[in-house]
Amino acid sequence: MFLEVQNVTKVFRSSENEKPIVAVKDLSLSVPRGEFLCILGPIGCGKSTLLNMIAGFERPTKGRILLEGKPITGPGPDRVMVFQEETLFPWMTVLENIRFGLRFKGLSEEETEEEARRYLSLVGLEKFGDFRPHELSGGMKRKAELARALALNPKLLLMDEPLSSIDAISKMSLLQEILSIWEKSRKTIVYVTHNIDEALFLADRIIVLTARPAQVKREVVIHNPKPRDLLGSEMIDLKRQLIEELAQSHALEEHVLTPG
Amino acid sequence: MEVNLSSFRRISLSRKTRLIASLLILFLAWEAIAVFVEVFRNVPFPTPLETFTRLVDLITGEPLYGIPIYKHLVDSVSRWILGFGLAVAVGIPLGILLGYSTAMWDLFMPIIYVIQTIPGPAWIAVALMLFGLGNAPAVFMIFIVVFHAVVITTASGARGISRRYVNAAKMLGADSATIFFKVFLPAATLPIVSGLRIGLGNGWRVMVAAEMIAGTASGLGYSIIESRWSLDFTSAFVCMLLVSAFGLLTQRVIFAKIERRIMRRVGLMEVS
Repeated sequence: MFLEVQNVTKVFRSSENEKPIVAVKDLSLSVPRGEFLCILGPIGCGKSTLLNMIAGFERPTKGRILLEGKPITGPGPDRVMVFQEETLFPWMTVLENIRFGLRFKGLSEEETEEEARRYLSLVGLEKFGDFRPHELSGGMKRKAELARALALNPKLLLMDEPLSSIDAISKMSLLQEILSIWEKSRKTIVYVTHNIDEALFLADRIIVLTARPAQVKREVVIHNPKPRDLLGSEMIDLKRQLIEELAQSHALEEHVLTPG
Repeated sequence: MEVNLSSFRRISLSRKTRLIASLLILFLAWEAIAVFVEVFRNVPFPTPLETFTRLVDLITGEPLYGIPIYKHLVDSVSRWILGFGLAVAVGIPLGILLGYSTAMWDLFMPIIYVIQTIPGPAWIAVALMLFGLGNAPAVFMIFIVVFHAVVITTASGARGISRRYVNAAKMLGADSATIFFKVFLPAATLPIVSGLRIGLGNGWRVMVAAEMIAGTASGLGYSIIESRWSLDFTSAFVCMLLVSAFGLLTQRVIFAKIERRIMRRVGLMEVS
């Protein structure tokens, strides 16, 4: 198996006298190469913690995580994460941001430049290479961030609610973009979200988590070809089921009732 | 449309008007207090007009405690700049170090917090024992106050703001030297500049207090405290006016401009 999460538990202890928080409890899942997996769960359920452990920013308290059979010990360019918050370096241009990761790959100056430009145009930002992040719209920043991540040619792309701060209209075009990038690159993607529509649109398989501590509640494999029509009856049925799942695992929240 | 446009213009105009009105309120209140004190306490209280007249006298060459007013101002400003400069030279590198390394933070931050709780003038005993009377103890007090402001703001800000960028850089495979110089330092610019701003204000205020007690024999603070014996309160008011005017000019006008330029350079537009 390409990625394996084996009986992982994560406990946070903020200080000695406070009650420890169990964010993830005895969670196991595996991801085959090339799969687009969406992890769906209510806000604050521990899904980002899970992703952080796969990325290597956090260590599991119990259990282990294997990538191609090797345990993950820290962050590295084989698993690139697109964060929920903006992490483009504001003091660099978009192109410099993309080049930043490439310089550690031992490429020549020209190759670096060429690669950076290639990924810039892959996300449709070729005209904006010399712009600073603060000069771009929210959606364009996401695309730039995606280009920076993809340029490293990671084995695994991790996405932590990448569209949660994006307006509904830009979101649609970004979803298309992510899908077409996945189709072109066939990267393994683990995509964490609380938004059912995003998951239905993108995923080969959806794993629904319980409220904290996060455990696997349900698994849904979607065979329908992409891009999918989310207003088709099959998708609507699936969506209804997923809403119920989420509602059970958590007091029904606003974002579940009105999925973006 | 036209109505809208003209109302926009009226807003920006009315803000300027309000600024002038605000200053007018200040001077009217001052005048009223002066009259009130003179009537009910029978004490001559300098009015705005008297103060400005005295300001003109002093500017045109009348000495104050044997020294021209320019010299008082220049001496004050040089002490401030010296104390501020020394504090920044030590404080920024230290703040960066404490912000970067948790071990260093744990080791040194408690000491900085202890220093922070003691107000500048309360260091007088230490200052006198270390330096005797004169310039140096005043500079020392300014130094101490600016120092902890710069260290604390830089360190805590750098820790918070830089984490996400540092995490991103780690993930992109950067080595630790690159992370420090290309990511951590630029990301720390914002808190460094905030630290400078806070330090500048703290230092300026403490400068006045330090000159009152350190035996500097010149400076705005010295001139104000001397009025206790000379009863030349009008000159004391002139000095207060200069403290305020010069403080506003350096912090709100000059430094604010520099700050905006730096922020634009770094691409961090928000100014906290």
